[in-house]
Amino acid sequence: MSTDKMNPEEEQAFAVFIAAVERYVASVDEAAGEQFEVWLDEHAEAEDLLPLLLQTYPKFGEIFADEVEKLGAQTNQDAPSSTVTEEN
Amino acid sequence: MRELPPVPVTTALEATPETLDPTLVAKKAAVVEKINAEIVLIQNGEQTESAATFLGELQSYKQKAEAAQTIDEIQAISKDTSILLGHDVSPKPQETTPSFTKADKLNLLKQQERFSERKLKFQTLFESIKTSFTGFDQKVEVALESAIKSGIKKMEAVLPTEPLHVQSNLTDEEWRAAKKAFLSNKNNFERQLNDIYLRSINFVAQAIPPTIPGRPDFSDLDITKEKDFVTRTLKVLPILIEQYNELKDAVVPTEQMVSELELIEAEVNTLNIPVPEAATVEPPQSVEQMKSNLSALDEQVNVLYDKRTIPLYNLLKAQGLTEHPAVKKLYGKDGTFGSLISAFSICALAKARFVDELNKSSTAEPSPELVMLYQKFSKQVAVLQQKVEMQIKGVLPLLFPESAADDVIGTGAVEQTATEQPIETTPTPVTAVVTEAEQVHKIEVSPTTTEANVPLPVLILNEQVRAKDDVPESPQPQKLTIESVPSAEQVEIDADVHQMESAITTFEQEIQQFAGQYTWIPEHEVNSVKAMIDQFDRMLADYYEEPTPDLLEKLKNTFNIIETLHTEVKEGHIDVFAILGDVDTFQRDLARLERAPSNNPFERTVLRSLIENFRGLYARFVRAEEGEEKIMLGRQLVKMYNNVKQAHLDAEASVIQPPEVKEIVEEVATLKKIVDELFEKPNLPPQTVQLLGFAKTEMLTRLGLLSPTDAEYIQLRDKINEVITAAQQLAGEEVTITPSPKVEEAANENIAPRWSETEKKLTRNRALVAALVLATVSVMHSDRLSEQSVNVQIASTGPLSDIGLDAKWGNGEPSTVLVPVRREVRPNTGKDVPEESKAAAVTSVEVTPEVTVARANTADVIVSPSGSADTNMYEMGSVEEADPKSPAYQESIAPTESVASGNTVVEVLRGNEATFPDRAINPILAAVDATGIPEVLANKLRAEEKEAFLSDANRLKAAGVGSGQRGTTFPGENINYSDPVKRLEQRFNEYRQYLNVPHTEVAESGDTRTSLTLESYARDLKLIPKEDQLNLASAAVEAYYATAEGRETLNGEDKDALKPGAVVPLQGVAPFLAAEIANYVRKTVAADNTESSIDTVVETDDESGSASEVIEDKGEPGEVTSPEEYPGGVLAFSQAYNQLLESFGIAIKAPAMFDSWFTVDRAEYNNRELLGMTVGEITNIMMQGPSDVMRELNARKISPEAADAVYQLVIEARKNGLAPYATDSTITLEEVIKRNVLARASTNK
Repeated sequence: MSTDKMNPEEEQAFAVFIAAVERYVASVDEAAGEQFEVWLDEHAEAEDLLPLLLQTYPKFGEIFADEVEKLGAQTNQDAPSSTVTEEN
Repeated sequence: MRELPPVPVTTALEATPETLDPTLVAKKAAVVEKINAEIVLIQNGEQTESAATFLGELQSYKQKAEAAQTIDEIQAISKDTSILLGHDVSPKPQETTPSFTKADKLNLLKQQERFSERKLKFQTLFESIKTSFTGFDQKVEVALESAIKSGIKKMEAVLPTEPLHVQSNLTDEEWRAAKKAFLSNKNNFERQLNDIYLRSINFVAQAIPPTIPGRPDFSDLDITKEKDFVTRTLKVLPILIEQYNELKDAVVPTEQMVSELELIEAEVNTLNIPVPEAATVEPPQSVEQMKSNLSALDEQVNVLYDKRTIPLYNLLKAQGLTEHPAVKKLYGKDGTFGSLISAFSICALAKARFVDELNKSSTAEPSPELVMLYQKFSKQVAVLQQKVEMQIKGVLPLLFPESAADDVIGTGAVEQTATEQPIETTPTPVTAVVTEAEQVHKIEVSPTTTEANVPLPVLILNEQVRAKDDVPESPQPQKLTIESVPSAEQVEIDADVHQMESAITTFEQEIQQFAGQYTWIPEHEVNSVKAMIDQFDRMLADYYEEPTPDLLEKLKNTFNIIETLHTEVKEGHIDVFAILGDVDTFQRDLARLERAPSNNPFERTVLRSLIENFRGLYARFVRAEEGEEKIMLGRQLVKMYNNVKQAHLDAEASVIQPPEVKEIVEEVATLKKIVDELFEKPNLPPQTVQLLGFAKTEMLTRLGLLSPTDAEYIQLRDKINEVITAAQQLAGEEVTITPSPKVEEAANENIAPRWSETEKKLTRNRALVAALVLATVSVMHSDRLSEQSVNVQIASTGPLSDIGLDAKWGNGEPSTVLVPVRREVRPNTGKDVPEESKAAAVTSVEVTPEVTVARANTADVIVSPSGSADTNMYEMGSVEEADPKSPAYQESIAPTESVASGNTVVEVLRGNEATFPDRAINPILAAVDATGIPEVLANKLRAEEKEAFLSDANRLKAAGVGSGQRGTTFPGENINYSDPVKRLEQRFNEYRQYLNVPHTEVAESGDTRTSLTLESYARDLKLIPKEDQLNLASAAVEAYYATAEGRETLNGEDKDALKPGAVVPLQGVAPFLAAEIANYVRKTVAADNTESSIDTVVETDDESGSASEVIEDKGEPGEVTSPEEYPGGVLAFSQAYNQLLESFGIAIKAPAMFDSWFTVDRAEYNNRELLGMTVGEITNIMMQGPSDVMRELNARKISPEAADAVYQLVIEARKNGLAPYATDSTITLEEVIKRNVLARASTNK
C-alpha cells in the first residue's frame, strides 16, 4: 500500500477501511468477493465513494462501523479521553 | 407483357417520291423492306416489353430511311439498322468472335426478362424452403443452411443487376459483354438452384426408412432418433414437393428434375412404411450379442454386394460399358478390382480383425479392444453402404445419357452431393417398368401386382434391380470374402488413391464453375487440365484393373501436375459477382461494426478505406480493355478483395463482445420472477399492482431487447428495481439493496481486478481518506471535531460582590465552567450579519452550585419536594438535564439545590449566595421552555439574556434592584425576573420561527458564517451520547458529499491546506455530520417534549409549505382546524405533518436553516413537486395508462410509489370530505395532507 503521503491519522483511518474491506471479502463467497473488488476498483476514485459503498453494500457498512468502533474502544483503553480545556 | 402497338408495314415506293434517284429509291426500298421484315418477325414473336422497345427502335429507323434524301444518308441508316439488327458491318475484331445477331439480342433480352422474374421468385422460395427445413436433423439442417446461405449470398450478387434495355447505341461488343454478364448471373443462379435441389433430393432419400434386413442390428444409429427423424420428414415432404413444383415452374425444368420430382412424389405416396421394430439401439454389451450382430453385418455387406453392386455391373456389362474408364474405375477388369470392390476389401479387412479378436475372446463381456474393433467394422459397413450408393450414382449417367447430359445438372454435382450425404434407400414394393430412353425394361421386383413406370435410376437406387434374362450372367465381379482379405498395406494405398480420386473430382467441379467467370487464362490451358484429368481417369481405371507400383507412381505424378495446373487456372479466374457480393456484405457489416464498441476502431477505418479502394479498382477493371491492363487489374482486384476480407475479419475481431446473452436473460428472468412473486402479495395497492404490471409487460420486455452496455438498459433496470423495491416495501417484505453486478461484471469482463492497483487508487482518493478520518476521529477524538470553537470559556464578566453592604454575589471569584456556546449564525440572505452576532464568540455564563428560585409558570420543570420546611425547595431538572451528558447543567444545578417555586421573584437572602442576582437568574432562565431550540443555542441565548439583564440599570430597577446598578443589591430585595424570562421566551420563539423557516440560500464560498455553523454543529456531536456517535458519524459519512470549496481543496495539490482530522476534511464532511446530528437532536428533543405545550407560536408567512401554515377553515367545536389548535402546538403538528410526508416518500423541508444550507438533494426524486400539485392534477395523471403515468411523473421528478400513496390519501380524503371530487379543484395536495393531519387530531380528541 502506498501510504507515503499519508499522515499517521490518515494511515490509521485507512487501515480501518482496509481491515473492513478484508473482513467483508472474507465474509462473502468468492464470486461476491471478486465482484466487490471489481466494484471497488471501478469506483475507487469516486469522491463519494464511502457513502456509495455503504449504500451499495450495507453489510460492508456494518463491518466498517464495527471496525471503527473497535478502533475507538482500543484508543479509549490506551489513553482514556480527558476533557480538554482551552483558555481564551 | 403488354400488347405491341400495330406498326404499319409500308413499302418504300409508298413513302418515296418517284422523282428521286432510282438508286436511292432502290436502296431505300431495300432498307425499308428489311426493317419491315424484322417488324413482322417481332410482331409474330413473343410480345415482351423489350420487344416493344426494340420495335420502337426499328420504327424510328424505318422513318429515317423513308425520309432519307441522299445515298449517303440511306447508307448510314442501313448501317445503323444492321447494327441494331445484329448485322455487324464493322470489321470483325477477331475471326473467332461470331457476330451478335438480332436473334441473339432478342433472345438475350427475353431470357433476361424471364430470368429477372425468376430471380425474385427463387429467392422467395429459398427462404420458404429454409423455413420448411427448420427443426430437422442437425446434420441436414446445417447442410441446407449452408447451401441456402451460400445461395442467397450469390443471389444478392446477382439481383442488383438490372435488366438491359435496348439501346441503339450499343455496340456489338457491348451486346456481347451484356450477354456474358447475363450468362454469368444465370449460371450462378442455376448453380445455386441445382445445389439446393440436389441437397434436397438427398434429404428425401435420407428420410426413407431403412429396410435392409439386419441393418438395425449392426447400426450404431439411435433408432428412436431415426424414427423421429422419419416422422418429421414425412410431415415436411409435402411442403418440399410443393416447393419443387414452384421451382419447376420457376426454371426450365430438366428431364432429370422432372423424373426425380416424380420419384419424390411416388415415394411420398408410399411412405407409410413403419420403421422396423426390431432395431437394437443399445451397443452390444456382450460377446454373444456381438456374434449375433456379426451375422447381421455380414448380411448387410452381402446385400450391398449381391443386390446392388453385382446387378449394376451386369447392367453395365449388358450395355457394353465394362471398358468405359468410369466403370473400370469402379469394378476393375472383369469386375475383380476397382474402387468399389476395393471398398469391400477394406470392409473385409476390418471384419477380419474384429472376427480374429472375437474368436480370442473368452469372457462374456467384450474387451475394450474388441468393442473398438466392432465399432470400426460397423463404421466400415456404413461407409461401404455410402460408397456403393455414391458409385452407383456416378455410373448412372452412362446408362442414361439423356438425363446425364442435362445442361444444368451434371454428374459431378450428383457425386458431390452423394459424397456429402449418405443415401439410404428402401425398396418400393412395386413391379416397375423401367424406361431407359426408348428402351423399356420390365423387371419383376416384388410379388405385388402394382405396376408403375419408374425410371431405371430410381430402381437402382431402390435396390430393385435384378438380373434379367436379357442381362448376361457372367462374368460377375468377384465376391470378396474374409478368406481373401487384402493386406493392410494395400488398404493404405487404396486410401491414397481414393484421396486423389476425390481431389480430382473436386477439381472437375471447380472447372465447371469457372464457366462465366472472368479469366485471363487461355482456354487451351484449361483444356489441358481437363485432358490431364482424363488421362488420370484412364490411368486410374488401369490401376484398378491391375494395381502395379509403376502405375501408382504415375498416378501420383499425374495428380501432382494436375494439382499444380489447376491451382494456376483457379487463381486465373475471378468470380466477380461472388466477390462483389462479399464486398457488399462487408460494407453492410461495416455499418454495424461502426456502431459496436471496439477496442481498435482503426480497423474499421482500414476496412472502409479498403472497400473504397476495391470499388475504385473494380470500376477501372470494368472499364479496362481486354488485354494486359485488364489482367493486371484483375489480379489487383483479387488481392484487394483478399485485403478487404482480412480487414473485415480484423474489424470483427476488434468488436468488444457484449456479455453472454445468457447472463442478460438470467437477469431479466430474475427480475421477472420477483415481479411475478410480488403480484401474489395480497396487500399491494392497486396502483402498485398497476405499476408492477407495467414493469412486467413493458419495461421487462424492453429490457430483454437491450444490451447491458446500453445506457438505457441500466436506467431501465434501475427503474424496475425501484418499482420492485417500492412494491416490496408495501408488501411488508424486507428490502435488501443488492448491488447490480451484471453490468459492472459485463463492463469489467476483461479487466481482472488487481487489488494492489485498486488500493493505490483508494489511497489517492483524498475525499475518501478525509471521510475515513472523520469517521474514525468521531469516535476517537470527538473533542477535535471543531477546533475553532471548542470549549469556549464561559466566565462572569465581573463579580457582584460589592453590591450593598453585606450583599455579595458569590465569593468574588467567578464560577467558571466550560459551556458550549453556539455563535449566532444566519442564513445567507445577502444582508450584513449584525455585529453582535459576529462578536458573540465569547459569552459568559456564571453558574453557582446552589440556586433558590421562586418559580412560576414552569410547566416543563420536573419538580419534586425536597423536604425543606420554610421554603419550597425543589430539585429541578430542565429538559436539557434529561441528558446527563449535557455539560452545561451538570454542574449548574446540584441535586440539593433548592428553588422557590411559584413565581419569578427571588428574594436576596443574606448569606445565601444562590439568591444573588447573577446566580438566582440561572435556574429561572433555565426553566424557560426551550423546546425546539438546540441546546447550545438555548444556553447561548440564556447567557446573553442574563448578561443583558444584569447590565441594564433600568431593567434592574424595574425588577426591584434598588440602586439599579450592578453589584448594588441588598438582602431583602425581591427581584422580579419576569422581564428577562419574557425576553428569553421571545427570543426562543424568534429562533423557533427562524429555524422552521426554510432557507434555501447556500452559503457562499468562504463565508465565515459557514465556518461558524460548522463549529457550532461540531459541538453538537459532543452532546450526543457516545453510543450514538458512531451511528451518527456513519450516517453522516454516508451522506458525505463535499461542498464545492471542500472538493476543490481536497482535490488540490496544496497538501498544507489538507489537515486530515482537523479543519479541511471537516469542511467537506462536517455539514453532513452536522445535519445528521441536528436531526438527531431535533428528534430527541421532539420526542422528549411530546407532553409539552408551546405557549407561543409565531406564525410565518412561509409560502412553500412550512409547518406553521394555518388552515383557515373553522370547524365544529372540538375539531382541530389549525396547527395552533393541534395537540402539542405547531411543532407537534409540524412533526406529524413531516412524518406523514416521509411516509409518502416526500422529502421534508430542512428542519433548521443549517440543514437547509447543506442539505444535498441526494434522492433523485424528492417528490416535493407533489405538494404543489392540485387534487385535479394528480387525479388526471393517475387515471391515465401506466406509460403515461410514468412519463408524467418522471417529468415532475415524482416517484410512482409516492404519487400512488398520495393519490390513495386523496381518495380517502374525498370520502371524508377533506378533498373535493371535482377534478378542476385547485386545492393543493399539501393542503389535503395538512387537513388530514388535523383531521386525525380531531378524531383523537
